[in-house]
Amino acid sequence: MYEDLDDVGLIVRSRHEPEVFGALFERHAEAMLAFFARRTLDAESAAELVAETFAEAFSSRDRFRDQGVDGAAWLYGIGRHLLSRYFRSGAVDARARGRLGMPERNVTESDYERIEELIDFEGIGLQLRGAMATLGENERETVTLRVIDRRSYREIADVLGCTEPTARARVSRGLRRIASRLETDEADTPIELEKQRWKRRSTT
Amino acid sequence: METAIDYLNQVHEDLVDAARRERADLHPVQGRPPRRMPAMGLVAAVVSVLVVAGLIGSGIFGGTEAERGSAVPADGGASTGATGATGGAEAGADEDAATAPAPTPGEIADLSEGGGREAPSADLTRVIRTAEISIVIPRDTFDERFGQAFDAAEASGGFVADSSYADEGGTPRGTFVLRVPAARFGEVLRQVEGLGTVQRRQISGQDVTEEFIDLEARVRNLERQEARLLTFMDRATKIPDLMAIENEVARVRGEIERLTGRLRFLANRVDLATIQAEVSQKPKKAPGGFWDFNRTIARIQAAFLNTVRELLAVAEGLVAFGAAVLPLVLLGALGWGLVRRSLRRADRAA
Repeated sequence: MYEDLDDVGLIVRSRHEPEVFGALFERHAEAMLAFFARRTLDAESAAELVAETFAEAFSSRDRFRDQGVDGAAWLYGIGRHLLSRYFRSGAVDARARGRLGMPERNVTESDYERIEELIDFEGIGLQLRGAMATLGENERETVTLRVIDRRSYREIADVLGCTEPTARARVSRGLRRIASRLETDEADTPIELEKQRWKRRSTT
Repeated sequence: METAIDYLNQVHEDLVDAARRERADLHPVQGRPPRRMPAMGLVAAVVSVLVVAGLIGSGIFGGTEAERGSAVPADGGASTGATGATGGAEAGADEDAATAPAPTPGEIADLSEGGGREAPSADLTRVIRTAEISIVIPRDTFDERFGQAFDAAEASGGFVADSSYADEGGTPRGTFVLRVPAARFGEVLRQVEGLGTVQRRQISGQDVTEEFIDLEARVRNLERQEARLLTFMDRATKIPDLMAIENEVARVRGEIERLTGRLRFLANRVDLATIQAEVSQKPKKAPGGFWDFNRTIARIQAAFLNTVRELLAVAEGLVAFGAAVLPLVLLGALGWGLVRRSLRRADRAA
């Protein structure tokens, strides 16, 4: 649906036909999930960030101005903003979803696996290794089992003699710590470039 | 949308739902008054629901909903909290409920496609109503009054879910639980209260509209997911793939069953309100007269027994004290004996 419209077209049209915004979600949600997953290294937070970003974008689509800017850049701008708030507070906002009456959803077992696949741990292996050194022994061991050995949470729980939720919590905590370090290392992410381009365009 | 990640599918669905709600605000259904007038909104909603009910040809929601809609104001002050959700558009969550009553033409079309099972999404606010009361009835009227309460329940189209009666030490007590159609709730409650004197009354309304909408959306998602999995299954060529898909289908189906079970349970709770009553009898009057001989006897008996009990307690204390002191006395005696012996020896030596 709406293949003939570009992102900007979709956003503009969705002002009078709200459902059209769904097409924007279809186009970008999965890529954005990968974007957040690589930065948060946490499936649940990444998923929630996607939901919140689109909720926020939907609420503020009237404020979008067509200045020749890529619609995706606008979306990612909102996402980026929410991401930095997430790194500061450690929790994903639910305000925009609340305003729209969207329920908070749970990330299922199988989703966890699929989202972690999006992270592509090998691709960011080098940076990861440096950041791993900053973790405590317990966390490092758990993260290693999960991320490098690709063991299931059940196996990890067996190996370390803890429960599955504990294993998941340790991985998530460890990855969050790594993520906040990666974040400081990472200035020229695609979205930064996108933003710079956006600034250039809006000033000219 | 085409993704294997359930979460994204759910959010997509939520976003489209939010968009539909907004569209309902942008292009109101013809003749639909502004939201600030809940009473008229309600009437419009009832009409819409009737239209929907007619369209889908399902008799389940038609009659009771219309009756419930008209009965809401008749229940008086006690239940305003329960039905207040229609007017409570200020809370974010209630916006669902406030916009839900009047379906857009698109939604109605959806409903006619989806069949009877989808009907609740166009429903009125869903509230589970419960009343708990304690009443006191005149002496020796238990059978009669219980009978009246049960008749009232059955006459309204409800039933007696539970009843018990016990007579302990001359103070009979009973309880019963009536389930009555939500539309007749106020009427039956008044009849039950008329059986005696009301000592306590608690009426509560739990708004489950949001849970309803949420559950329905989840069921829709899961059914979509199931359909997708089944097409994968057709395409699968390897046994392990097939097994994995089959497991996933079983899981999704289980989840659908669980959620629809919950939906059915909620629908039952909403359709049938609950009245719980505790019934007791007026207490016996205290015997009159200027002297109560029995009471005097009881007091004498109590006084005597009290003294005996105290004496026994003192005796018990003394025995215990003796037992505690005994080892010390023995030790002292032994020591004294030794000292005397050594003194005597010293005397003899001198």
